[in-house]
Amino acid sequence: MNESYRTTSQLCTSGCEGVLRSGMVASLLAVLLLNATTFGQRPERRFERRPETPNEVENKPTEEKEKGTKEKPDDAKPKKIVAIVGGDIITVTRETIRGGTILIEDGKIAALGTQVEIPEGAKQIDASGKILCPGFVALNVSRIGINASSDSSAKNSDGLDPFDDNVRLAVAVGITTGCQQVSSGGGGERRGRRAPGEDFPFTERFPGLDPDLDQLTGAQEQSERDFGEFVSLCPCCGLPILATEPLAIPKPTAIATTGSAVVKMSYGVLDGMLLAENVFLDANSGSLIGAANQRNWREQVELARKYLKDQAEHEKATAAGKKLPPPRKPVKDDVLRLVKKEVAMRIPANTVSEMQSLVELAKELDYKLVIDGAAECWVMGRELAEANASVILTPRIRRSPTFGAEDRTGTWIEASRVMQEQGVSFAVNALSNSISLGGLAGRDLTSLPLEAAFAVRGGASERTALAAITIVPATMMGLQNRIGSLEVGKDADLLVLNGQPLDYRTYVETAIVNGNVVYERAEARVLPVYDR
Amino acid sequence: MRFINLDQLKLRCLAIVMLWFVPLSPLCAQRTLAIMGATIETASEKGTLKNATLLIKDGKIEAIGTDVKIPVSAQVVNATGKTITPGFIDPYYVVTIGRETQATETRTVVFGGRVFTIGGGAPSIATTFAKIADSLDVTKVNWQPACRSGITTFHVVAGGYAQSLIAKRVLDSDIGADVEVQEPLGKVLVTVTNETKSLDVLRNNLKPADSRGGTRSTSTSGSPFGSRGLPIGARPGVAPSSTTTANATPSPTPSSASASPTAALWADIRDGKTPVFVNVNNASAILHAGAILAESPKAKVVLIASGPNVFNTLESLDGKRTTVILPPTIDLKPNSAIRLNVPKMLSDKKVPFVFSQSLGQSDFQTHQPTPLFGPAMLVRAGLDRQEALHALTIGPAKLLGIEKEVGSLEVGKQADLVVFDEDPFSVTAGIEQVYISGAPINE
Repeated sequence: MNESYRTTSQLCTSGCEGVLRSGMVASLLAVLLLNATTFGQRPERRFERRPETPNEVENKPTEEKEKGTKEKPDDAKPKKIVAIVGGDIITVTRETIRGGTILIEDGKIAALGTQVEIPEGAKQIDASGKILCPGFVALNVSRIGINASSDSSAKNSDGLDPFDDNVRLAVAVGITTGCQQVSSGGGGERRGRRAPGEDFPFTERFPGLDPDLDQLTGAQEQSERDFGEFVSLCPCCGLPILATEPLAIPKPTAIATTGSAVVKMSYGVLDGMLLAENVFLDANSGSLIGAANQRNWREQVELARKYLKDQAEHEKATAAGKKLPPPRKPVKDDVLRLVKKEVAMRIPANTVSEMQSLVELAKELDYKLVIDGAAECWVMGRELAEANASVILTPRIRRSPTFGAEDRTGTWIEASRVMQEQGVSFAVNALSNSISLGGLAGRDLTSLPLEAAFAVRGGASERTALAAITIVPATMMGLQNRIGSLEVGKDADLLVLNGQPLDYRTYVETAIVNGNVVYERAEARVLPVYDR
Repeated sequence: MRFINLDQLKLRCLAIVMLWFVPLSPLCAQRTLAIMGATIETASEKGTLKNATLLIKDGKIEAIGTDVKIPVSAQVVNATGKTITPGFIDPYYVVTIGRETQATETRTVVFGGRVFTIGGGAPSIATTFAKIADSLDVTKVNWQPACRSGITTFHVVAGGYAQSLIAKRVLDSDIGADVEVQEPLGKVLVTVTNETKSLDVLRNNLKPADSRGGTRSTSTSGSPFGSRGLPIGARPGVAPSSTTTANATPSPTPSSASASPTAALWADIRDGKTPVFVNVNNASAILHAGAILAESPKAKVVLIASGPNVFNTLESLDGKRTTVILPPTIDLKPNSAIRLNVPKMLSDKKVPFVFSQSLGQSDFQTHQPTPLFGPAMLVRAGLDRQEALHALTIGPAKLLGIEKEVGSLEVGKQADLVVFDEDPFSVTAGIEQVYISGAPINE
């Protein structure tokens, strides 16, 4: 089995290279996505089980939906109303509606269904024959719509640039929300090996000129291939120098984390562009590796728990009229929010050993865990499911197996199928987090829906794959009540597509963010406009 | 008077004599000059006067009109067929005072025949206040392009956060420069981009004085979600060095309103007595600045922006509070080859605008033989002719509060004028003569 997957993948890789050089994009895509096109024609099935959404979407929108569809909005106050009529609505979290109408009022979805009455004065968009689907959510973007300021006092809201050309390109392929890491917060430049899918400083070089071939081909150090992890080799004997623990246990320090900003791709509109900030506890890779780090982390979580308890007691005492000094906050805010389960920990990890230790810690300390990269996740689907952890996958990422352990190391294209079968929710990440190729070549961030199609190719259902770029990433960020699916009460971030969302031939015809039309294919001239 | 009219040689001699002796001899200076026969664009209520006479005495306009009586003692200049406009006023003439740092904006690189955009770092714009008058050496500035373009009054500005000055072209000064500082204390200028430090200059200073006490800490503490600062429990020395606190960086704004030298200036801006000049680095900065200005309803703003950036944000501009300074050129719609007449759009939307000829630096250099090429093209593309003229003359004068002195050809104002060889908005028009306070400068 292992041999066979490697062969397929290598074929795929060499195919990619050939195309890159010769430019025969169409032929490759046609071959690669034969599957995508066939399942695209399959009728939509009712969605009964939702193992891929880790946290159930709250039921509130459903009730509102019923209310919204029955009573038409009759406010006298003039609202900005847009009605998109006649398209097949892929809601992601609920059933697909054939030939339905979506009513948008002041940037929110007011009603959707086949029986929606359109109020007078509404701007109508005809989508008959088209497919409507929620805007895609990218969990790792770089320098899109926000100024990457090195200044620690800089506010994310001030750095927004709705006229950034990358915003236009992102929304042109359907990405309406992107989560961007904004401040280095911890150790600056990462040392050691670079995990695939991590922020890759493309834009600091000549974008497009340095292809991420090493990512595609899984370029690795010899030692990495032999020992599975990056280790330095002794110059005399060639044996690996193993990491040693320090003799004295260091005092507990805050683990290195970075902040994040969730930016909507509302081209030209500043209002509502910044959706949320610091939606994860973004731990730097390696910050939980080793006994000392793990002990330190346990202590921090313990301190956070104690602080929350003290704080509750203090509040009680204050309410009772006692005047006591408030408890001292011993940890960073994001640790507190992690302990309160307001955010998940997102941490890059790829090897089974790394992931296992993370899963153990998450189970022991009881917090939400999102593993970024997770190249070898297919080995430990059950463990991940038991810990209720979720992963961020890039199906096309390549990582060679360790010598002698080919059946339980390295990447496997069927990882997405394994995750689906084990009930581990996964989000899909593009090969790169920046935009450098302008949307056609299929290797930069703009290939996000294509990457999800590769999850289908690896055996996941189409519905799961679509969820992996919509509701699952939204849920990971705790924003499932705002974005990620088409439901009444949610933000009106949606796409009018001319085909199935994961089909490589599909173009976004119209993109709507916060109820505003921010992209029209015919006008924007970002992607080719021609009739097929 | 026809005998002078015919005697071209005599006229030239007279002009040369005047050029040499007017500044030196008080006798000559008091002599009345009559320019007759020209079409006069007054840039005032009188509009365009055909075959009119302009009477200048002591460097001021004594009379203007078609029925002006020319005194016997007056020197007469025949300008038949020529057009006279007021001297142009540049509302945003940028000089370097050696303080600005280079903004690392998004750069475009052409490599192998392809165009790449490289994301730049955060632009660093000087956010400390400076008075341009303190550091400007007028002899070190190259005024020649401006002078050759018929500009007689300059609003001299620098990048960053500064106080401008007003300078005027002179015939001959003590220090040998073409231009002299007239009013050393001008308007407050702020350069903003989509970056907290630069926006904070606007934000913190526009806050009413009484609510500014506690703003310093809150405004610099980062996101409302926190978690960026130094962990409170962390011991000094143990804390990672990279988690520097927000408080360590000094706030660009004055900490106390009373002690600040700029407090009075900003108080006037908050009350709407004088506008604040905001140079917006990109289109998003227009939106950011607009959001900040929405908080202080009385304040008026002058936006300095490029045409495409104005086009992008046209919907957000409020004509009652905003004036736009832009280069007088036909622009391209962003990401397309469609040509735009942004001044016309502003005019249709009733947003006042004025032109700064120096803003389009390349045009400024290349179009000197025909300095009004840009405005003329805009007029050809549908901009109202009078509006274009006003945007070059009385508009900037009003913006700077010097409309009683200069900006139009009216009785009592300074006789700064430009003589064009044909209709100034005819694209090919060149400057024949410039008069500063009634004295001609041979070009």
